[in-house]
Amino acid sequence: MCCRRYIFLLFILLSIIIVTVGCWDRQEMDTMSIVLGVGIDQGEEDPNQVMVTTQIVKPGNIKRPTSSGGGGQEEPYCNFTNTAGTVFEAIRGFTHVVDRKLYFPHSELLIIGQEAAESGINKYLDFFFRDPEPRLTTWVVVAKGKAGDVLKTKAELEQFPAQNITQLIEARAATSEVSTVILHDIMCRLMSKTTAPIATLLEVKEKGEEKIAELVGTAVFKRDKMVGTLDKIETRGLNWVLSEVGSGIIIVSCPICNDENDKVSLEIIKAEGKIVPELKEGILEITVKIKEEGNLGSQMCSQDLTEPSHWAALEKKKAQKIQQEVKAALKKAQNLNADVFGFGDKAHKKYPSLWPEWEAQWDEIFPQLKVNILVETKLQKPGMITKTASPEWAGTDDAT
Amino acid sequence: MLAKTVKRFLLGKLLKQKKSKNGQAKPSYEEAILTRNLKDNLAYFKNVLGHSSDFIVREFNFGVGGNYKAALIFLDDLVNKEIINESIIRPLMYELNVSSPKGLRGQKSLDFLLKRMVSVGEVTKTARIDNLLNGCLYGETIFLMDGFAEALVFDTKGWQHRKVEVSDTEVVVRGPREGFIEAITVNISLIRRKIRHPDLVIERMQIGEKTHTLVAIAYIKSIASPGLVEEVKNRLRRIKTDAIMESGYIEQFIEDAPYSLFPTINSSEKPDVVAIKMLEGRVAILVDGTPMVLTVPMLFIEGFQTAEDYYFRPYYACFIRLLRLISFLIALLAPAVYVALTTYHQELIPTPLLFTIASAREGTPFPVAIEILLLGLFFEIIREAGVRLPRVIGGAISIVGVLVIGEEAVSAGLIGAPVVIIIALTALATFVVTSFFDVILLSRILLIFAAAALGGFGIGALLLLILIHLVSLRSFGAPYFAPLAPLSLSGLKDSFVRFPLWAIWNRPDHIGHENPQRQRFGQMPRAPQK
Amino acid sequence: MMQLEQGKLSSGHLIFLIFGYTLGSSVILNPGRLAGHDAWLVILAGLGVGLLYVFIFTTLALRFKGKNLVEINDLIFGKYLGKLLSLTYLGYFLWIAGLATREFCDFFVNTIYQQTPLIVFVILILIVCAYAVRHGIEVIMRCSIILFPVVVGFFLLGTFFLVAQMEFANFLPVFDISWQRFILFTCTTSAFPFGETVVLLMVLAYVQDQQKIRKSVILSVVLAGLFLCAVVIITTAVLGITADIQTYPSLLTIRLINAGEVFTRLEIIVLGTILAFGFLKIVVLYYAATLGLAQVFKLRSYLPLVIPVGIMTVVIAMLSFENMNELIEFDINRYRYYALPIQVGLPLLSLIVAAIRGVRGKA
Repeated sequence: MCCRRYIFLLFILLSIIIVTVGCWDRQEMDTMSIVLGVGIDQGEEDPNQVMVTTQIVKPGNIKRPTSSGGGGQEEPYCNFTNTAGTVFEAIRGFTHVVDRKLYFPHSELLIIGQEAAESGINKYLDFFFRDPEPRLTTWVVVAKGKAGDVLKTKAELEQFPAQNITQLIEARAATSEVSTVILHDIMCRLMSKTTAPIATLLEVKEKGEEKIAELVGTAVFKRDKMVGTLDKIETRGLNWVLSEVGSGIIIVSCPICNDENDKVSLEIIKAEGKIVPELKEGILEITVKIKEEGNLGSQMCSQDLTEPSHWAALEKKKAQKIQQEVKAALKKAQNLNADVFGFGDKAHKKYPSLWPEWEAQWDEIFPQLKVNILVETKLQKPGMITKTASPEWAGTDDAT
Repeated sequence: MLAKTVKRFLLGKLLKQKKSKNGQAKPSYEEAILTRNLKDNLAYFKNVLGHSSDFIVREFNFGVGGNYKAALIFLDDLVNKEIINESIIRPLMYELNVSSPKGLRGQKSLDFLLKRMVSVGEVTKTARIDNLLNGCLYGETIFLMDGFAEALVFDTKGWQHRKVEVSDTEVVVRGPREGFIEAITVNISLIRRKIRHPDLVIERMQIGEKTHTLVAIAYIKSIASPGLVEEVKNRLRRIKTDAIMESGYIEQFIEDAPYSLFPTINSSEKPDVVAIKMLEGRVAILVDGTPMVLTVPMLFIEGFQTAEDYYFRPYYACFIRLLRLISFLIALLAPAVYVALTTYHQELIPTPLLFTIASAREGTPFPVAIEILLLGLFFEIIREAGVRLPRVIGGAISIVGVLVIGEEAVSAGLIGAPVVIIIALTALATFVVTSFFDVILLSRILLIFAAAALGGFGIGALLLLILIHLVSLRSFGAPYFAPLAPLSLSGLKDSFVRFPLWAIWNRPDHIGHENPQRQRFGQMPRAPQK
Repeated sequence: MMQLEQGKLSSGHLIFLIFGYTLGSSVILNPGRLAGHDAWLVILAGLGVGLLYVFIFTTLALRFKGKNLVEINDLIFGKYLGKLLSLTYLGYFLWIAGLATREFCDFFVNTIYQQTPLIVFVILILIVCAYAVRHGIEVIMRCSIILFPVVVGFFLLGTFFLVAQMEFANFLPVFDISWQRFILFTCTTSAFPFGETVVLLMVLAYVQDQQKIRKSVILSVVLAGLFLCAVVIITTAVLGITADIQTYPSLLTIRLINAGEVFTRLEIIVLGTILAFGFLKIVVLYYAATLGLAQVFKLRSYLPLVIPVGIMTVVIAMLSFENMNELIEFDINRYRYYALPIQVGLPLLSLIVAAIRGVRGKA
C-alpha cells in the first residue's frame, strides 16, 4: 500500500518535471523559423560549395485581415543565405545567422539555380529525400540564373514571394504551358533508368524597378544534370502526351478566310494522352494517342463557324496544331536525348522480356524512335452566342 | 414472574426476526424493552428525548369513567396534528364502545385498539424501544397504555417538503418535467405512477447510524436479475457509517471502482429516466432527503443517453447522440491536441493556420501548455463562482465573461487568441455531456500533461491507458463498455445511434438478460392497407 | 490446477484481436517490400503459406481443447521435456515482443521524435501494455474491439483521398521477379507477420466455444492478410517505384494526400494505425510470455511476473540492434531462419508425437 503511494508520487513528480523542464522534441513556435522556400545555388567563390537561401516567415509581421493595422510596413518574411560544403551543413549553419532553428515541413518550394542544376541535382536533393522534415509534395523549380534572386522577387497578391510562386505553379492548369513537378515525381524519374527528370523553369524578369518571377517552360535533365529547356509550346506538347493538360487556349487561324491574322481561340476542356508502345518487325515504335475536347472561345472573323463543315474544319485545324506541339516537344527531347515522356518505362511494362536489351541501349534507341501521333479532337460548345455578332460585314470593309 | 420473563423472552425473539428484515441500524437502545407501567415507560422516554423542546407527551384517560390511562408521545414539528386529534384522540376519548369492562379487561395486547378503535391507516405494534424511538424520530406517534408492555405506533408524518417541481439539473425540451424531491414517499409515488405493474417491488431499509436514513430499492421482479438485486442489498447492508446525507454517500460506499475516474453508478433526478432504466433491468436506489436517485448498473454509454432521445424521432435522436459523442471528444481532447500540435507536430497544421497561430504566439511569455492550463483554471474558477453566486449576480458571470477576460488578456499580450477560443469551445462542449462532467475535467488535465510531455504519442498512450481502464471496469457485474466491447449487436441499436423504437426488440444484453425480449417483432408502423 | 486466467473469450470477438495482432506494425513496414511492385503477390502467397501454419497449430489446439500451450506441451512430452519446449516457445515470444517493441518505437523516433531517446518510447508503451496485461486477456480483447473500427476508419479515409493518385500501371509488368526471390520472400512473409500467430496457442484455450476456434483464426488471418495486401497495393499504386527505397512507404503515401488543400497533412492516419495495432501486437506477446512463465514456474497468479517480463522486454528492445539498418537487414534476411522452426516445426513435432503417443486432451 505504501509502495503504491510512492509510485504515485513519483509519477506526479515525473510529469511535473517533464512539463516544465521541456522535452527533447518540444519546440515552442516562437523558437522556430518557418521556412517557406529554399533556394540552392552553387557557391559564389567555390562552385563545389552550395549556397542555400531560405525564406523565413516573420510571424509578428503577418498581415491579418482584422488586425489593428498590425505589422506596419515591414515585410512578413526575410531571406537568409548560407554557404557550406553540403546542403545539410549549410542548413545547420543557419543557426549562426538566424536565431531560431529552421523548420521545413511547411516549405512548399524548392528552387535550383541553373548552374547548380547543370552540375547535377542528385547531390543536393538527397537531403530533401532523406530528412523526414521536408515533405515530398514540395514543388521543384529551376531558375534561369540564381535561385537566391527568385526569392527576392515581389509578391503582389500574396504575402510571401515563395507563396506567390507556388500559386503560379498551382494555377498552371489554366494554360498548361508549364510542367509542374513535386519532389516525389523527381524521385520517381531519378530512380527510373531511362526517364528524364523535368522541372518547372522560372525566369526573373524586370518590370520597371521590381523583379517579378515568371514561369517560362520546362527544364530537362539527363540523369541528374540539366541539359536543356523546353519552351512553352514544347512544354505543352509534352503535357499533351503526359495527360497533364488541364485547360488552355489553342489558337488556330480561321479555316474559311485564309487570312493568317483571323485567329480563332479554342478552349481546351479536357485532354488525355496515352502512350502505346508497339513492336513492328522487331523494332520498337511508339504511338501516342491524344484525345481532346474543347469549346469555341472566341473568333475574330465574321464567318459562321458553327456550320457543320466549318466546325469539322476547325476540329481538324486543332488536331493539326496539337500534333505540331507534340512534334516540337518530341524533336527537342530527341535532340537532347532525354526521354521526358517516359517511353522507356511504358515499353518496359509492355515488353518485359525484351526490355533489358533495350534498356542498355536506350541512349541510342531513343533519338531514333519512330513516334506516331494520333490526335482526336472534339469541339463541343460554341458558347453563349452561335453566329458572330457582326456577321459578314466585319473585316470586309475599312473604317466606315 | 416466570411468566413475565418467558413472555419477554418470547416476544423479544419474535421481534428480533422482524427486525432483521428492516435493515441493520442498531441503536444502543437495542436491549431496552417496555414495561407494563406507564409511568416507568414515560420516564424512560423523557430521559432519552426529553431534553428537546419539541418532545411532547399527551397523557389522557379514556374509557368509561376514565379508567384507562394512556399517553401519546410525539415530536411536535414532525407530526400531522390533525391525524392525532381526529383519528387517535377523538375516537378513544369520545367513542364509548369500551364501556363494558369485558371489552378491555383481559385483553392481552393492544390488538383490539388496533383493530377496532383507532382510525389511523398505518399502525404497527411493537415493544422494542429502539423501534419506538425510530418511529418517533421519523414523525410517528407512539401510544402507550398502562398495563400493557407494548405500544402502538401510528403513522402521522406531516412535515413540510417541497412540491414536485420542474427538475433543475436535467432540463428537457420534450418529455415530462417533474423531478424527484427530497421526501422518499413522494419519490416512490412518482415511480409507481410510471410503472403500474405488480412486479414493481420496493424494499426499504435504514442506513446510517445517526441519521437512520430511509433507503429504498426499487426493481421490477421479472426483469431485474435476482443476483443483481441480492448484490445491491448486500452492499447496502454492509454500509456502517454515521451519516447518509445524500445518495452520493451511498454511491461512494458501494461503487465498484472507487479509485477510478469514471462513475460506475448513475443518478438521475427525473422519474421517467429512472423508470426507463428500471425497465431495462436495472435497480434503483432511492434515498430519503435527496432528489437524486441512483441506478445500477451503469454503462459508459449511458452518459450519452438521455430520456429525451427516446421521445424524439430516430433521425434527430441519432444526430444528437453523435453530437454528444463529438462534443465529448472535443471537450476531452481539444486542449491537449492543441498543445501537442503547436509544440511537437507543427507539421500537421495546415500552413495558413500555422501562420495565424505563429503570429498570435509572438511575444507571449508562457509556453503553450502553461497558457492552456492557466486559462482552463481561470475558466473553472469563473464557472464555479457562477454556480455559487446568488442568481441575481450570477447571470453576469458567464461564458461571455471568460471571453471578455480572454480578449483583454490577448490584448495585453499575456496569451494568444487561439487559446481563448479553444478553451471556450472546450468549456461549451463539456456541458453537452453532463454525466461525465467531472471525468472530462480531470482527464483533460491529465491529457494536457501528457501532450506537453510527449506530444501526440503521449496523448495516444494516455488514451490507450484510459481505454484499457474503461474496458476493464465492471459495474455490478455488467461490463462497463458494453455494448461496444464486448460487442453486442442488439445493444448497438441503442448506443451512439438510436434505432427506431419499434426496432429495438431486446433489452441491453448484460443487464436485462433475465427477460430479454422487450416487445414483439413487427411493430413498425404502417399506413392501413386498402 | 487453478486457472491462472479467468477470462472468457467469445470466438466472434476473437476475430478483432487476431486481426489487430496479425497486422501489428507490418502495416507500416510493408513486408515484401523488396519484391518491388510485386509485393502484393508476395503477401498473398505468404498468406497462403501462413494459413498452412495456422492449420497446423489450430489442429493442435483443437486436439487439446481448453488447454494452453504450456499445458499441451506438458501433456505431450511429459513434465521435463514439455517444460523445456514451453520455455523455448516462451523465449521466442519474449524475443519477438522485444522486436515488435523495437520496430514500433523506431518508427516514432525516426520520423517525428528525432531527438527523443528510444528508451522513452519503449518504457512508455510497455507501461501501457503492462497495465493491460494485469487485467487479463479479456480486457485486451475488448480493447481490440474498440481499436479495430478506428484503424479501419483511418484506412478507408486514407484510401478515399488517395484514389485520385493511384496509377495501376505501376503494377506492370506483373511478376517481374525471379522465382527464387519470390519463394524466398514468400518464406519471409509467411514467418512475419503470419507465422507469428502461433502465439495464439496461449490464448485460444480461453475461448468459450472451442469448436469455432479454427474458423475464427483462419477468418481473421485471411482478413488481416487481405487488409495488408490492400495497403501494399495502394502503396504501390501511389508511389510506384519510389516505394523501394522508402523506410516507411505507407507514411510517404499518406504524406502525398493533398485533397483540395484542406485534407492535407493527414499523418495522424499512420500514427493512429501503428499506435493501435502495434500496441495490440506487443501486448499479446507480452501477455503470452507472462502467462506462460507463470505456468512453467507453477505460480498461483501471473501478476508478479508482469513487471519482470516488462523489464526483460525493454532490455531486448534496446539491445537487439545497433541501428536501423541491422533491423531491416535482419528482418529481411535472417528472421525466417530463427522463426520458422518454432512457428511451424515445433507444433508439427508436437502433433506427430501426440499422434504417436495417442495423447489427447480431455474433451
